[in-house]
Amino acid sequence: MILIRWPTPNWVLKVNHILEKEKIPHQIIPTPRELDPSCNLSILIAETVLEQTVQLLETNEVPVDGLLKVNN
Amino acid sequence: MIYLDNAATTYPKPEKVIETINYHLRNLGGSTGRGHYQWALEISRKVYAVRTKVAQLLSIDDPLRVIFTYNSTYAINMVLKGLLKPGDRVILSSMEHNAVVRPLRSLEKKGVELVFIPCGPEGVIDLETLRNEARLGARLITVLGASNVSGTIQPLAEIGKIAHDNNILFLVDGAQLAGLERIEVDNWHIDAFAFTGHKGLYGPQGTGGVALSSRLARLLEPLIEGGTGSLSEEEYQPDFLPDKFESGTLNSAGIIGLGAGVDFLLEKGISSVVSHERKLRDFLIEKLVREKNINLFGPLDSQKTTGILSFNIKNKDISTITNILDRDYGIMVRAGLHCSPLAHKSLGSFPIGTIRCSFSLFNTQDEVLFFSKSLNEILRRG
Repeated sequence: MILIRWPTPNWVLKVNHILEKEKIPHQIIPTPRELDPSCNLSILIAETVLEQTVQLLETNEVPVDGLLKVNN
Repeated sequence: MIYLDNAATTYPKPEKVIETINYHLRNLGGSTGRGHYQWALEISRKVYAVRTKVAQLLSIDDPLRVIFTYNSTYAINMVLKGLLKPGDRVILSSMEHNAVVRPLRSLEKKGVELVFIPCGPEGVIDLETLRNEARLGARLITVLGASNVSGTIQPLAEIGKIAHDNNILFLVDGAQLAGLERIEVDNWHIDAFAFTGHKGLYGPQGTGGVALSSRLARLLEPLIEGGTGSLSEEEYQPDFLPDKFESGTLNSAGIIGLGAGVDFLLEKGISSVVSHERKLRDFLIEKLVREKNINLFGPLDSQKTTGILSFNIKNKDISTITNILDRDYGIMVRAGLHCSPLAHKSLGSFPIGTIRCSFSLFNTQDEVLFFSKSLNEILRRG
């Protein structure tokens, strides 16, 4: 799984909206505190949709704060 | 009771708006952008969905450029006070509401220069004078999208082009326009479009906001700073949107209700809403022109206006008339200057002011007929 994080919940919500529209399975989760002390949210996606997701983020001008491979 | 003060706030609100707010208050705890639990996420998603609806309505490509405030006055203050510095030149129309004029007069005392562009008898800005003043340079052009006194709609696309050609930022007070006209914020070079939720968008009071261009968002200093639900470990305000301008807990119940208002509006169709209001305005004009002592202000052609009509009566006190309308006939309309002395000066109705009738989709021709008959009866009484 890939965890993608942003500095604000508003960007997570924007990405959630984009992924829902494109029917890309994903999950909103609290960002683990060892990664970010900001009380933030992240989005979890499968590795198989990473390329498609990154392209969508570029198209929609959403900068990414960090990408991280995580275990299920 | 007959309510004809929809330019102040629309009434009634659509059932869907009431039900949505009721559901939210009863069933969802939490705040938008705060917390990771399911209710907080649901509220956050719903508030984001309203951003997308407003962005669609105003034709802007990024919902995060929609900043929620409490009303358009707050949004206008945020832009004016966050942008202007001593020595800046501001060009404004002579139809502006005090929401714009008062903060600008305050800034004038601190060294901001104000240039007023005259408006014709119908309240439309003189584009030639505007063009000439714009060539001299300015930091900002600010214009009332539609007048709260006469309903006059300004040529925003043309004004935006003048602003763009002269590299001037462009603010629109859209309090009376949002929901009643097609608005293309990005295409018309509007850097800030301030809107309120409780008028033409049929939402509750305490909602509103501003759609910002990216360039203005970078230049603006926030009016208030504080918790945003993001970068909590930092002691400095974030510089990304909408967080930069949205400190403190948002009115999520109100915003979600506003979303239901926008849904209602889009279901009905903006053009059919404004067409209904214009028909009522035309119908009232037809009745009022028969009274020889009535002076109508602003355009008689309702295609140039929203559903607002202002008039006064020779040798009659307008406040007394509206009091009788309210007390004896149950008709609620506004008399006075409507917080817009400048507009009344431009239209020729200062200092007496006008009786203002303003319609919504819920008003009927029978109500307007009753209003005109009641007015006629009062005037016959002497």
